[in-house]
Amino acid sequence: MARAPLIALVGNPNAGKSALFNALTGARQKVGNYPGVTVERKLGQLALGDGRTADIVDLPGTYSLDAKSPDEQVTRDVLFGRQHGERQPDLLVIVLDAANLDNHLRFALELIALGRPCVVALNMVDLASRDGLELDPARLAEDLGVPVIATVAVRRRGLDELRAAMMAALPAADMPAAPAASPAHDQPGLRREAARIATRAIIAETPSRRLTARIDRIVLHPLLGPLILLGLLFVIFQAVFSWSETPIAMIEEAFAALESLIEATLPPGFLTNLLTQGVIAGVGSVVVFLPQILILFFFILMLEATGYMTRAAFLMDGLMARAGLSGRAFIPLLSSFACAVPGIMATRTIADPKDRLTTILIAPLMTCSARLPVYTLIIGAFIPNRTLAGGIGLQGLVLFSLYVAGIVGAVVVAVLLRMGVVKGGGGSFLMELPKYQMPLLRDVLIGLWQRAAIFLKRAGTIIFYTTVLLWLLLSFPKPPADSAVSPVNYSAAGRIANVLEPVLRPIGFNHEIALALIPAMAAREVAVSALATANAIETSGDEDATAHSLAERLRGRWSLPTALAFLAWFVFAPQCISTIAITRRETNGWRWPLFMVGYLFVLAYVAAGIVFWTATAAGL
Amino acid sequence: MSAADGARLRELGLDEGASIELLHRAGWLKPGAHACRVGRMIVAMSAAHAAAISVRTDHPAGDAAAPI
Repeated sequence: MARAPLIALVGNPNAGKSALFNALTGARQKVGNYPGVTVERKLGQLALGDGRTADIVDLPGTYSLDAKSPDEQVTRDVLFGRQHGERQPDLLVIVLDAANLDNHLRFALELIALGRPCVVALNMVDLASRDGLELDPARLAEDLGVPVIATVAVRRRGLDELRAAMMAALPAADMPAAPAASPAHDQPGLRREAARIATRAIIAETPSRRLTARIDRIVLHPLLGPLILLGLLFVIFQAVFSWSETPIAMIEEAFAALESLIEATLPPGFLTNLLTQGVIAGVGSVVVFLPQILILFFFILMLEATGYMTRAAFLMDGLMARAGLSGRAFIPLLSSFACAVPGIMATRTIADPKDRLTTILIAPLMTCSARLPVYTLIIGAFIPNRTLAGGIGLQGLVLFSLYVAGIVGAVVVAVLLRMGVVKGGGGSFLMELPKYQMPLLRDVLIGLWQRAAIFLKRAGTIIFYTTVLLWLLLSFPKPPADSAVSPVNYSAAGRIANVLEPVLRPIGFNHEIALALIPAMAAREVAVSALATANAIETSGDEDATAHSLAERLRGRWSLPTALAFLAWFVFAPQCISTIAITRRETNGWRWPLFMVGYLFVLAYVAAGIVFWTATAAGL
Repeated sequence: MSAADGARLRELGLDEGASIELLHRAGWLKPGAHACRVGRMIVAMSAAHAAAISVRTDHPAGDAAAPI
């Protein structure tokens, strides 16, 4: 059977490739990585309309074939058929921003010169028109020598015409792929030619980007801009708490109902205990935080889709420069608030290797969503749910402070790294600021769905296995009937915690915390499931104790300084296995991940100690 | 400025003879990043990059080349 032809979407950053990819493929897409690198590979399927189906790949945006960062290298290598794990595309769909024609045409000319079959998608013609630009696609097609289709990906306009043009331009299935020509090096010549073609294609033009200019005057104001950014971040973190209350309660009720159903259906014994105390208490206590994680991702996706994210990088460049980084590092670092793994992957857009390495090493200090379950549990248990002046919730304020602590820690570590082990280079900040756009709900929902699937897969695999293993370690061996030792303390996990406890006791950590920290190395949120599972086993058979929530139990067993020290530990806590693995892949070895784990352990221990000793001295 | 940054600036349209307009400057005490209009595009760059670019104003009195 003939294989499906491969179509590559290629173009400058901010040309609307991803929106076009989503519009063409819908939910029929697979997100993964190219083998050997952490550059995201987005592959989808496209029904061509003549019975054929094509594979379509969304290549990372780049300005030329002269690659300057790892993701740009992938684009170049795919186009030349040199990328391991990807065949050479049969057709290039060159996506142009209609409002930036002269600039985007230069790269388009480079791509057309490769000699592969091409179709141009003249995208975002609505925004160009909004900015007073009227274009002639027919004349553009005549000058470029390839079909040009006007599209508005986010409104699904021009897609049928584009699909028809792709069908016509695709070579016959049995035609062998021709090698691509060498890249054109006459950049000044390409620039002149691009300007000439753009001028001919423009029918009418008025001053550009009035809306964008008006918004930028406010959000990029030297004084107002940072205040707006700070306010936005504050609103995000407040929303993470306040919007999630109802869905969290619903998930909790669903798990409680499931637990009751199992207890009513199955006879008491090993399997029932494993399912209720292990799987439901453990996995359930993590899944319950899905709403908060999705709210955080929702805001990040919205900031990206509206075009504000690059503005935030612009505003932060000065501050980042003082830490030896560039504003470009802000985007991976902000993504790391959701999860350090995509954050570290996003560093591939940073061209300077030392800038990039520093960003990777401090990315774990951004408060990832896996810490949210831990923070939420402890804040809910120990911080009163009071409203302060101005309607600000105290719990939200504490959560915000923890995020700020992570950021301050990251800045300090970055400065030290730049003075020491990652000395030299860096500080390069060059970015296009895209037009503001109204985000498309469908694209945001696709993004949220992909993240929810990753989280649930994680909960169903690594967290599930760790929780079950932990339940076994916590449940066996059982103490003799006349033993005064509690089942948890008598268990294998309890004995491991006994070894750790003396090391952790000076910073206020008890046996229960020592026990929770072991599986938290696999994934941070497992600390909560570990506490929940231990609590479920401890209270098994004691109906009064079982009726108390985990938060209530912790409040009765931990002092406030211990709880605060536990929070401080998790601000800096060493990374989960996935982050360590991605750091190893991204830095091509074990040296930097080991360094990262080592310095984070020291930081976490020292910070927790300082918080515990200070809080104890203050009589809290 | 590195050669790669110079090449990227040219790819963004900041080349000899290009018309640019300074739109925004971040930072309170020390100058932060700059945002310039190049053609119909807005390009953001660090203060260090901006300082490395010579511009000539189109004001009648602004003949001399000066950094942004």
